[in-house]
Amino acid sequence: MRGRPGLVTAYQRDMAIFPTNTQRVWFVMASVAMVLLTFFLSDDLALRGASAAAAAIGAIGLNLVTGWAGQISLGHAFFLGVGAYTAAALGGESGGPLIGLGLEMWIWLPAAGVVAAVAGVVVAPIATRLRGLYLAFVTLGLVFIGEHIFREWDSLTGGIGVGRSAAKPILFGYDLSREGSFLGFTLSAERQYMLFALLVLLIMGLLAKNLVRGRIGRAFSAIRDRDIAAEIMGINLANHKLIAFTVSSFYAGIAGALLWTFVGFVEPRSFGLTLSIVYIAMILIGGAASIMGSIMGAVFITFLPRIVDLLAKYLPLIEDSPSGGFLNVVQVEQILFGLLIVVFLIVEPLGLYGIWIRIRNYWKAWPFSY
Amino acid sequence: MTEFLQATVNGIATGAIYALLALGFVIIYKSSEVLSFAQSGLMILGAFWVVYFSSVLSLNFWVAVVLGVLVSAFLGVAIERSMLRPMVGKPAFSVAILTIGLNIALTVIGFDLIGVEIRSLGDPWGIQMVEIGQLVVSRKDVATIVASVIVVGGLLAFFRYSRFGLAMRATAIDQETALAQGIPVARVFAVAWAIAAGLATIAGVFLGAGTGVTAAIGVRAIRALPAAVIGGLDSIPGAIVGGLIVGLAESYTVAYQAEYLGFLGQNFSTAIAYVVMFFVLLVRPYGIFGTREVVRV
Amino acid sequence: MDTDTQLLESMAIFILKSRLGPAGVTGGGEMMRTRWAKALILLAVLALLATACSQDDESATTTAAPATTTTAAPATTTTAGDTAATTTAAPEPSLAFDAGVTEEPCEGGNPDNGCIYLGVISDLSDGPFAALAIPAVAGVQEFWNTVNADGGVAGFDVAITAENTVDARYNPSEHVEGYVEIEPNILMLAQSLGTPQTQAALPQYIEDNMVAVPATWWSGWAFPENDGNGLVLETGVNYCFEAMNDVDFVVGQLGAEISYAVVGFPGDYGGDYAAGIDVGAVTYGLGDPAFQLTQVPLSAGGDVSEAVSQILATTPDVVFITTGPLELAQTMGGVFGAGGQALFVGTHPTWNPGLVAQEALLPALQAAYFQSGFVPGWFGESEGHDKARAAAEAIEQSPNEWFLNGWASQYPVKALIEDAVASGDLTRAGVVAAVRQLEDVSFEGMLPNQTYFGSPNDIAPRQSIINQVDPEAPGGTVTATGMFTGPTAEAYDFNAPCFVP
Repeated sequence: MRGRPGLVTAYQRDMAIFPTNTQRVWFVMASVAMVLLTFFLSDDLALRGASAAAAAIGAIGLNLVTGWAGQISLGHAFFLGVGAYTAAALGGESGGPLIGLGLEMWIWLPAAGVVAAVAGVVVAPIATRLRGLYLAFVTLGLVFIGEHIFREWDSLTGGIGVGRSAAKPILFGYDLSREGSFLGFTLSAERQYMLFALLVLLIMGLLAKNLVRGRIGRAFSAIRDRDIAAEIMGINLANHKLIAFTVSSFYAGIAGALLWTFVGFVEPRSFGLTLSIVYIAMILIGGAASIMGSIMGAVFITFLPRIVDLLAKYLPLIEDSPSGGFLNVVQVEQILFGLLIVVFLIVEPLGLYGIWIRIRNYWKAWPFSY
Repeated sequence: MTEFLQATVNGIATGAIYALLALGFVIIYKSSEVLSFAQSGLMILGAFWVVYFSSVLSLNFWVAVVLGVLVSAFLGVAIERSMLRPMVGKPAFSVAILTIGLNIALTVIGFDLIGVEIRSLGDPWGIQMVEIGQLVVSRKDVATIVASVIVVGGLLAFFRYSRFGLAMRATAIDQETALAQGIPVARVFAVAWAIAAGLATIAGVFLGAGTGVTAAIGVRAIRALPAAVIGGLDSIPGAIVGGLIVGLAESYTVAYQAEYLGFLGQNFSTAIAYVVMFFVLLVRPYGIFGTREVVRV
Repeated sequence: MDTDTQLLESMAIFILKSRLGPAGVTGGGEMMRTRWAKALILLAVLALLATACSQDDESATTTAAPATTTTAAPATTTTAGDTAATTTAAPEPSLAFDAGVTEEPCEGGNPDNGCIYLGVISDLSDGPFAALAIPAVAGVQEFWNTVNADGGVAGFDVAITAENTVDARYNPSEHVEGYVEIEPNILMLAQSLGTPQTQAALPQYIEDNMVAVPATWWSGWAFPENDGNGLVLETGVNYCFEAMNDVDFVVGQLGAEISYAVVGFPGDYGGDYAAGIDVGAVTYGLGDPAFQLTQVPLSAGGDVSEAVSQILATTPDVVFITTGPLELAQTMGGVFGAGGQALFVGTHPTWNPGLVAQEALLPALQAAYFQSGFVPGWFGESEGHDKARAAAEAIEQSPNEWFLNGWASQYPVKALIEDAVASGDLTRAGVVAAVRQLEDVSFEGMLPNQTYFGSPNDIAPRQSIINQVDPEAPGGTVTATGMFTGPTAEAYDFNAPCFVP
């Protein structure tokens, strides 16, 4: 009924991705706004926006396995790397000294996801055997072993300190890395990247939302809350943990492929523990078990360096001049990053999404504060 | 044969360093059920305090070490009070991630303080070596082993014979009952962090002795985590055993892997700790000496 | 029974209270405030701690504070890029310019001059060469400060701002990312550090007509197909010839009956030097190396144990090492600490004056380490050296060869700006056109004049210098030889890069 959003009369309504009209309208408006925003951002901000959208895909993947299914995975960097290198191998230049097949994006992008998912399938049985923090350690080990493999497999990665160029974003003959024009607007490469990334994010986000509102999503939540009780209730733990890791790795593979294609160059050292922590931070700061939260967290973390640069102009502590100062901007960014994780966990466990909910509830009840 | 013995001695020395870090880790985990990823950050900062007291203030090396350990312990207590206390009762995962965030902050500050140069600790061993029978061993390695044995022995004695050690053991078994018995559990937490920070500092000193303290020592500290896991997260003897296993594994890998398992690539010693951890966890999911989790549904 | 229940009750309340804090069960709003307050106090304490430490630490570091060590990322579009298309009155009405050049004077610069913005992409914190790059960037900065103080160049001051300085931490992807961010604001790159890093960004440089001064000495830069037909303005001898000269020197010292080993970083930096060693080995009949090892930088998680154990196992007479200073220190420390011995010869990026502070290592360094370089040392006699020393004193920079390296690398840029302005075109394209005619650049005596176009065999510099460690000397080294070109390098027919990946 109009004006009574809390009154639910049909099961479909209860389960819907966008239950109320307001949500549907907001969703459409936000999507349109994002697309329009692309045209107004400067090139380097558009590139950051594209990276944020791709990172959001990865964050959603991590949220699925850690936020919803409760399987702590510190190994996300490994799956991102698998995705990035699969894409580079399939989509990179052929005929050079490194592995490259020169295929188009509609092949290498899903392939990156699939190969990463296969890697996830391999890791999943370990998850079944281990619980909680021991699983975290094993996934941590996966990152380091992955680093070793990336370092040593020079014909794929170019080797450490050297790297290789990433896949070429050619979609059905159209090269996204070249300037193009659309309806009379010139689109720089960065803007094309952002639009494409937003499109992929839209699709993957809706798919993820669909997953978590259904049977599998509820099974994940049950496993997270009390996995032994879930098993007693008839949820097959092994299968669901397998699904969680596979889907999460698929998302990570896609995200990795996109992220490094936008930069154009991929180097093995990028896929270390720090990258895993960055994604954990995204979902914690954004809000665990929340798609919107993953996106907010990803955007926030991706734009954090810019925010810190702005802060640098106003805080005397940060070095902006040749002499004096204690920390340079990169270091402030890293410290802030660490501190933000700490602060959010202590103060607002629900993350940015939780803050958004608070704001929304405040305005819902305004001018009554209770 | 000599090569094998040299590698063994080297492995035991490195293992002792890992054991110190892993011990700190386990002590925090046992007493407060918090998984602290902050050991590597504390180690880097700890090494810096010693560098500061020794190089900048030009104090005697041993005085610098003692002061460094004290400052580090104080920092550990401060961290526990300010960041861990509000997290009591929160899920373990959140707290673990919080320590990761904390580690990032500590590491960056530590790197910045150390700077881009190699900082000297002023240690008396340097890179000199000593001959023991047929073996040529670096004095630093010998010092590491001896010091670690003393420190660990002292710590075990503390736990076994002193009142507060008894209190800590009681808290490790059951926090609520310990509280009911009048044990100041909060103080136990703080002391656990202080001990862990102190152990990390000592480990950092031995890592940096001889060749100097640089930002790169932090990379090795992360390998203490698999050492703790291999031994079992809640077992003190396990931490020592785990550290030694990892140290020996790395040492043998460096010595023999190129010959026998060359296909694994160079620098495999950086990954061997995790491979060992994988295999141990496959066989014993809670580590070698860890206790099986019994969970109420 | 009752007392038991009461006891349990009171225990429960006690535990709950101790867990929930002073606000008790009905925490609510007060809890929120306490938590926010705690978070704020925490941040404040850390900030205070940081400020406190900064005072103490200024005197603790052994190198001087760098000129600029902040990352790029112009937060908002700066004036430099915006004045791209404007055609208002310029200092020289006939001068064309676009990105990176403005008529407005630089901040704090000569009010009558325009401003040219240059970018720097280097390794300023985490990578293997930070200890060298920081003084090098200081050298670059001070070169331009001195030029500006003398009235600028061709009616412009040159500014290298913190916004246009990127710390890429020796990581090619970060190099490329950082470049994309600063590219709209700059005319040229005053420094692009790292061979693989510059190679990774080269396609972008070519697309953007961006001339770059490399802080990398790969032999391939001399060839137009490798450097975008002249975009890379290398200065000084490349690793390949440096290696040949090193071999000449070592054979001169020890004779030709020696065994040797090669340890180097991955990529062209290590590969180019190793290729040069090969040429020298062939010349003198030294045979194959005892072993050749790729050393992963420590900052990337590498470990010197393998290099050390190989050296101890194969006992070569000479180890040619192409890494960073940390890896050198640890390798020598490991080898000499285990009772091994070898003569170590390092390329110019392998040395860091700070190494003389390593008391444990110093005897080994003094006895068994030789360092090759491409610029005469701190007490070199030339006009350029005098100016550089004066500038270094003014900013309290301790003597460091890398300050000189950075300083010297900017002479071609100055010459290029002058040429471009003289031809009336200071756009990026104009600068690129001028590069292809850049000849006979003077280094004010620091180095022989260098020409930047022509056959590489004719124009590539082949002189290097060998230094020895001396803790008393400024910069930690004294010259063992003068600038020389060894017979191998002299005779070498340079028609292709020594090493291509």
